[in-house]
Amino acid sequence: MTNRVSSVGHIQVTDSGSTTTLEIGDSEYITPLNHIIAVQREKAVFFQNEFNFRDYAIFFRPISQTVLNEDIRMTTTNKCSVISVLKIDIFAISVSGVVHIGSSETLRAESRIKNIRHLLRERPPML
Amino acid sequence: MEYNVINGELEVTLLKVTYVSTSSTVMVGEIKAISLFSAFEGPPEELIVGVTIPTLPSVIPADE
Repeated sequence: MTNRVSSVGHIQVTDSGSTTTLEIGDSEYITPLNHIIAVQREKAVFFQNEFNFRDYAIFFRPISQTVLNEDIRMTTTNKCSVISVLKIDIFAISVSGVVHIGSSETLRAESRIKNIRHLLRERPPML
Repeated sequence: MEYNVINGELEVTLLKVTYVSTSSTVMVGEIKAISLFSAFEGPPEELIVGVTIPTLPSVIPADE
């Protein structure tokens, strides 16, 4: 099934974080993945090897595998074989973000974020 | 399931995106299968350290 051609006149990306991708062209798989532990401390003290991903279950919880190949017979007829965008203006692309100009097969994105607060006053009464 | 798609002409003049978030995708093109997963674990709400911006007084004066 021939995909349509994407044509873009002008792209402007002002800022992009680490491990971001700007792909111009077709691809097979896109799998952006990131694991984040965000720590906010009232007293700015930082030790070297703290906060390993192994210690938190959120990074190992299994993903419910979505069924990627439902039995669906899709027939597409493209009257015009070009997807055209004149101007793309993107201010910021965050960590492991993807900007993809072109067609692809499968996109499987995963993001796991753990927020931690270390406050000086004692823990509030448990909810 | 039979699924027929007829794509007409597709032309966009301006695509303006302020912020592409973590592991998210902006795509100009076609794709067959998308599966997204996200897990977030945070402290209870009152532990969020941050500035709460006071809501502005209503601009439209109530007509006495």
